[in-house]
Amino acid sequence: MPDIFVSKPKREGRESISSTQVAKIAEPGKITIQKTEIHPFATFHTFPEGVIFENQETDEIIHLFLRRHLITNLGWVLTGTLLALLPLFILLIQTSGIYIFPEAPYPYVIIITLFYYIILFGYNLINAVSWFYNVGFVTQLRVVDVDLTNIQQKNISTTTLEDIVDVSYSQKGFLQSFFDYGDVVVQTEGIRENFEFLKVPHPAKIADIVSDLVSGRSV
Amino acid sequence: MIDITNIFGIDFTLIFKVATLFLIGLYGIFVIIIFNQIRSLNKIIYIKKAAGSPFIQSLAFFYIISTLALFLLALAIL
Repeated sequence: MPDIFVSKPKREGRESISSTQVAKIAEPGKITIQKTEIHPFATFHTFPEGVIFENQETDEIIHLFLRRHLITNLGWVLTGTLLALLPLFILLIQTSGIYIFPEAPYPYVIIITLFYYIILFGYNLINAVSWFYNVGFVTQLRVVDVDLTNIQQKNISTTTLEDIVDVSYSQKGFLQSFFDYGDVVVQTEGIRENFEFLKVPHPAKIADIVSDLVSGRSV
Repeated sequence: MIDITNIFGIDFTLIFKVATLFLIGLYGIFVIIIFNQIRSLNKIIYIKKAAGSPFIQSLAFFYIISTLALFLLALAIL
């Protein structure tokens, strides 16, 4: 009798986490985990070394470290660069005889220019900090999401893996498809809030890893 | 060309000086808030030396120092 449905064989491993690493995590008491060095611009890192978060348990291992994709910083980097060049353009225009701004004594020009560059430095620093500290962690116990809506407002949410009911991801538009980044939504039970890792690289892999952790399958 | 320090024969130098110092002073408070935020964020997430946390904090410190230096410079030369 012909088979109506034949399930696909299960995948042996992933690109990001090797099957040996997965096996190592499955029995943390027996085998040591090979952590790898994290670099400042890391956006997707498995088993990072040197990352500590608040209330981390002593035996809690970070399986996934996530940040927004680097390309998402392009907007403010370009804006910052253009704004840094703006005074030079104004200077060029002024020297050519077209006066945009009224004449001011030199001390004022110096102070206003320096103040402008300090504000610009602040703009870049705030954007860099927002990207740097807007992170997500997936450990063998829970999912942690640190959100900075702006520099003065932070929101840290955690949920245990048992509370997770579904993991989904979405990629919209050309840029997200081209650079392989998107949004991962981790749905939790009942009235608890959902977790969103926005604009993170390799959303499919992340969803896969979290699903595996939740089902207690591999990692 | 208009000389902004002398409009309609009134000398605005002192007003400009006070206004500039006041603005830089206000901005200084904002910079201190940012520095404190970064310090508290470092307590929530610490990413080791080579990967950035101390570097970001030193940038924030440099930010405070430059704002303070600008305030003193404005006080001296305006």
